[in-house]
Amino acid sequence: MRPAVIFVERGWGGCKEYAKELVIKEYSPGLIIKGKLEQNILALIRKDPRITIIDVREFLFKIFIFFKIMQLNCNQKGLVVVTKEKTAAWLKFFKKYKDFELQLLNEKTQNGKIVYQTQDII
Amino acid sequence: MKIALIYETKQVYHSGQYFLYAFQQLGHKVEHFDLNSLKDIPKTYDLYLRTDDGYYNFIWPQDIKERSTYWICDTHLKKPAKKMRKLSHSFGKCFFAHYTSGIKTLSKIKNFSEDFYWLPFACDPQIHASLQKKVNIEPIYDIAFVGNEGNIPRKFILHELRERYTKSYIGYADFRKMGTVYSYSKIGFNYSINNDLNPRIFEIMITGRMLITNNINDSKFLELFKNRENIVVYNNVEELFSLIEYYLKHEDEREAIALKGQSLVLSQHTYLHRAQEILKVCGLQ
Repeated sequence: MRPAVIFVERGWGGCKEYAKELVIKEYSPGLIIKGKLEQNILALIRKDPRITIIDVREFLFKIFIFFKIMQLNCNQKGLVVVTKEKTAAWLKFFKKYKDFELQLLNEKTQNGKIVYQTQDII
Repeated sequence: MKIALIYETKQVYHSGQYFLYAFQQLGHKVEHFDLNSLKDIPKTYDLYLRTDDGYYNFIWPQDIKERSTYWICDTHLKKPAKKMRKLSHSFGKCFFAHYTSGIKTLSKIKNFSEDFYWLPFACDPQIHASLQKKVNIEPIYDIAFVGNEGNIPRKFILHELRERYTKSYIGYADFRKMGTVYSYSKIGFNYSINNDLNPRIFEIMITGRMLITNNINDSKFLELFKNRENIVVYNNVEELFSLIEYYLKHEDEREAIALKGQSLVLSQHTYLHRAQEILKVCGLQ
């Protein structure tokens, strides 16, 4: 299983649906949420044991991203997904030193349903 | 009577428009002006109403101060509240939509007790209830929510609703179609941010569908509405899902609450009522 980490700064539904899609593609996805959540909300969204969900305080979020990127195993090319262009631009810098795939996820609602698309950042 | 309404037209969905229709229905001559044409507004109007549209960088002409009113809405948000508190000095009378946050933000102003009045949001039957239940619409959605996802925790609750109730409409809709979405739903969902008595409450109720909302910590909330009588209130997510399950199964109870809610907003909470209130306060009725 290849590691995948989705940093959630914007939206949620699209990230969750994409994580489910990654499970099917034999990734082990983790969702890192910017902001602390109440226990009952965490319990609500942590139902799928195949998807790890962690909430991180806003001021620690960037540091957390940095450590997560450093943790990526060099032998297995990991996938990193972000929801903000600014974060994608920042992470592009790390690609010089670490080998990982970087994607930007955009989500919106259309006729009351969530639609999302990913874009490879090279 | 001649009334000038001032709000930005860039915003597609704006309550200023509802006031325009309401004053017209009351037989007044109403004209709308954009914020950037503030200098060119003729000084001949009997009343000037500036509605909150999210733009706060303007200087209000002081020669019309006594005939000017400002409807302040976003007092539940820190930055806009601060800006609107400053701007309120330029108007003869001010109205505020959220009671608790409005009092908190504005009550320190010298003339607060004389010139500030509570005026909550409302609905417009022509726009929000164009498809009334009298045409016997069969609901196709279990749950409906029209609006943006918001932040923590609203976006998580909304997606959970999407996952649990696949026959739902949760997301953006044009304000002209909003009423149709709610009319085709069994339950209209609301999650108020920072305890604001938001327009969604009224917009759902007028469609004749049951409103389920979080418990809003605004002292006027339970004064206006009665839990399990004309609305349904939940205190936590567990309760939310058990209440939704219950009311989806008990159609008669759901319909009874919805109808009571609809008749309440139609009789007391339309923009026509709010327009009348403004005129009354300004001594123009």
